[in-house]
Amino acid sequence: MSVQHEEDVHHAADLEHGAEEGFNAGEVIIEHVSNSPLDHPILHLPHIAGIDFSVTKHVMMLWLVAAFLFLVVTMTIRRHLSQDKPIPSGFMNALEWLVQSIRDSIVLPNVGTKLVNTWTPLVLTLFLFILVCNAIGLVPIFEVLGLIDRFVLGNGHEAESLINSFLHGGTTATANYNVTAALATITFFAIIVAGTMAHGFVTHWKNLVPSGLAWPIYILLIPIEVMGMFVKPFALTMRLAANMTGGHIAILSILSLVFIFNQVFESAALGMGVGFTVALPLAVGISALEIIVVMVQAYVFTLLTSVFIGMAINVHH
Amino acid sequence: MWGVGPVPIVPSLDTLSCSGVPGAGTLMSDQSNHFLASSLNSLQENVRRSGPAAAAGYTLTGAILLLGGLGHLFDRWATTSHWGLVTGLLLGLVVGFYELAKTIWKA
Repeated sequence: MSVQHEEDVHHAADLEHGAEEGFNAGEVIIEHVSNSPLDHPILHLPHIAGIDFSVTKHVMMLWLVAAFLFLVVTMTIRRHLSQDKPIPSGFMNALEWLVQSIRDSIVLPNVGTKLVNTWTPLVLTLFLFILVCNAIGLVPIFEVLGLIDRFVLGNGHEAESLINSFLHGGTTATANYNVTAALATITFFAIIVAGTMAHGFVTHWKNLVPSGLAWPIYILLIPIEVMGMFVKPFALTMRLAANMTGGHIAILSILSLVFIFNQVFESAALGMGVGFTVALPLAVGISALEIIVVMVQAYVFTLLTSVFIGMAINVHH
Repeated sequence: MWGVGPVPIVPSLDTLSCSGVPGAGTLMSDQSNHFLASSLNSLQENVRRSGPAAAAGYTLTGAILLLGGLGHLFDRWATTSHWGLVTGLLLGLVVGFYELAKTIWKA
């Protein structure tokens, strides 16, 4: 009896070991969509006031996007100005159309004519930054580098190489809740600044609740309004990060079918068959949808930011 | 309510023909340009109008999630099983529907 029990324990341990050795879809997906861990940062930096300032992959992507946008936009505008052409052409034409569209179709209807030029730069910056952060997450830059590292340079996945350090975590910085929370914090303060600029500091806070109500109503309304103030940026944070994470999880889950079928049925041919007939077409379709999601999410974030700023400026109770 | 009327997103499509030279396009290209311009204007107007509604919708969801989450955290901290969560969810509903009601009353 005890021998049988020991055999069962060994068998269970073997199965557990096998499961650990085999393909773990959840682990792969989580590693892909999450940031690189702090014990594998891209750049080690010291702790300041108990905070680890090491540069992780998402921080690096934020810097890359900021530098890319700064260089491309500045160079395009400088070149256009130096040519002294009244009508822009090429990329400058597209950029001008984008700026005008954001100003006229998002900011102007919400903020109004008086303050449109005050708030367009902020909204435009948010739009371009989120758009490029979203879009760069669809480009498998580091995955291609990883393939070159494995199959051309012949390095193993445990090798201490720079490329291997890039392969920890995904590249979509806007799929990180900390990034979207930081962006939403900018919106939060922009709402307060907009209301203060339009009505003055005291009147802005008074405008939170309608005037002329019985005082017991204010006991209910003021806490609700204060909570509403924090709910708006929270909704922005969750919406953007969840949408950007969701698409990647969907694509990776579908692609995981190849390895799951291969493992469960112990047949590479079946795995490949499922890959070519089901996983690949579905992944391509969802990737195409993701291209739309990338633009829509940037648009929705800026639209909601404009609406919230407009609500602080154009108060109607 | 928002102070200004709709602003055309593609004003140039109304004034330019396909070739880019005014007056050089055919009647058909003018019609298709007009159709495209009016379609885009209509889309833009719909999107503009949906802004406050989208804000109210996301605020409703966000309020329930945020306050429900805070209630859950309170439950874990104070070991008050589920009372914090229920209170948070109810508060979230109140805040969310208040924001929704404000949007509807304004409209």
